Amino acid sequence: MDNIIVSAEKISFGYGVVPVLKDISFTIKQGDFVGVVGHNGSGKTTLIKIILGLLPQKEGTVTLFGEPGGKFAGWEKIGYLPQNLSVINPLFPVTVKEAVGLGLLSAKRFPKLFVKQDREKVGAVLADLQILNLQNRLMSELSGGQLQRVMLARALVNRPELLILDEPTNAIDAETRKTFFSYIHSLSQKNRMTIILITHDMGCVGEYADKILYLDKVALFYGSFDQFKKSAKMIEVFGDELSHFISHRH
Amino acid sequence: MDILTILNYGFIQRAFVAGIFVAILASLLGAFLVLRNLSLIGDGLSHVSFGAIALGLFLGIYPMYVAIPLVVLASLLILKLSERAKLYGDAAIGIVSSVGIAAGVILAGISNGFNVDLFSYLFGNILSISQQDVLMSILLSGVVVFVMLLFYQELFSVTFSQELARVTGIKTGRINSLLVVLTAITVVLSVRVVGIMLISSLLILPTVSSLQISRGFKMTLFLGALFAIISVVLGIFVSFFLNIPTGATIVLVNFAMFVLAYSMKKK
Repeated sequence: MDNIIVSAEKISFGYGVVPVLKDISFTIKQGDFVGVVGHNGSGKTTLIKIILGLLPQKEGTVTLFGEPGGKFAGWEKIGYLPQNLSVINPLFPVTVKEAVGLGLLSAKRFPKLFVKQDREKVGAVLADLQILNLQNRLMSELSGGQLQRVMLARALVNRPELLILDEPTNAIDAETRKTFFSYIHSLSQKNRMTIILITHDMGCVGEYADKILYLDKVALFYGSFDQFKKSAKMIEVFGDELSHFISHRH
Repeated sequence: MDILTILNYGFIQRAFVAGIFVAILASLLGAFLVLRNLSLIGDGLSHVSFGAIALGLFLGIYPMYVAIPLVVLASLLILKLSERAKLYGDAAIGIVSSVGIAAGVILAGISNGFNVDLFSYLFGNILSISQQDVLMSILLSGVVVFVMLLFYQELFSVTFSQELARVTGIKTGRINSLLVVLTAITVVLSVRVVGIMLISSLLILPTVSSLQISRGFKMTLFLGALFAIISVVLGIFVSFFLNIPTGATIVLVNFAMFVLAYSMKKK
């Protein structure tokens, strides 16, 4: 039986009296590539932040790798690329290799000292993503596409089992976006890495995801791509556009 | 009188030792504060140390013994006010700092006896620093730098991004508490070097100068410490030869280095 990586049951969340999510339940298994989609304000990022413990879990239960969310300690198994990279101060004086190295902290015990192998891991992931030449550059000097790759390198440096990408291609051009998703897809195929991709870009979900969670404060749909394209509810939501997503599929 | 001659004076030696230790400490810690937009916490805590030092003088206790625990408590109060009471960070600093000043003014008013001593803490007098102050500076600076080294990666990570730090399993709340407690100790130690009114300069200026030309986080820390040492050494010499206040001279040398670093910055 496949390992369950993420399980959410009846998650509800609101800011004050404004509901953001209601009764969301789903299970993600090892190797799944799940596209979390929905329009702006549908609760996609909020859901991911609850799963990661970045927002308080008010109702429902979350488990990560079989452990209750609040007690989860195996952070080295998770790589996270946040939305729009807005969590980073653009004036922070940090080099690419310093920023990527921070991703290794989850696998380290106190005192978290860096050794030669850590520097090699950073070099290896930068080489994998073909950005080794940027290692001594300041983050503030990078283009949107380069920054995105660096933060992906940071998320991947521990070789995580679960990769969570929140709107990863917002700031990059179409060509770079294609290369980006193609690389992510290869990780899912080669390493059986579990991937959660949050996006409002239905095209890339149609092309790569094998499961889809469609949110609009509630989970309007969760299932496989085949079920998605036949779902009466999704046909009702998307109408003719649904065939457009399907046409992206290879 | 030449430079080597003045180095023979005991009070100059004590000023150099205490000043350099505290300057390195303040500049290292300042990097984390400046990059997290917490620069003014040093200012707020220095105002609290005014009240705490006044209390020490009022009670006839060595002021640092009173100031360290009280300023540490105030630093944690600022943190809790900004987290729990949902106050903006600068509002929390403003509340705690004004209460500290108010307490100091009232104690000075009702005592009548120690206003002159209190004045020396307001503007600092590194040249009159005692053996006890020097030992305390060395000891506490050593402890604070050691703790910073132990938690360097956590402090770096939380400064870079709190959200990403949490997803690497770092308890950001504990690291924030550690940062403000270390800041509180540093502020109290800095009182004798530049005085209550000028402490933030030791925390802010070396880092801001370093940020103009550094190429990475470690380099920012290293250059900040270097600028801090130069400012103390030059500040003591210049103030001695020109017979002007030392704390203020250290601050102005720091500012001159900022102007120099800014002019060297690649536009």
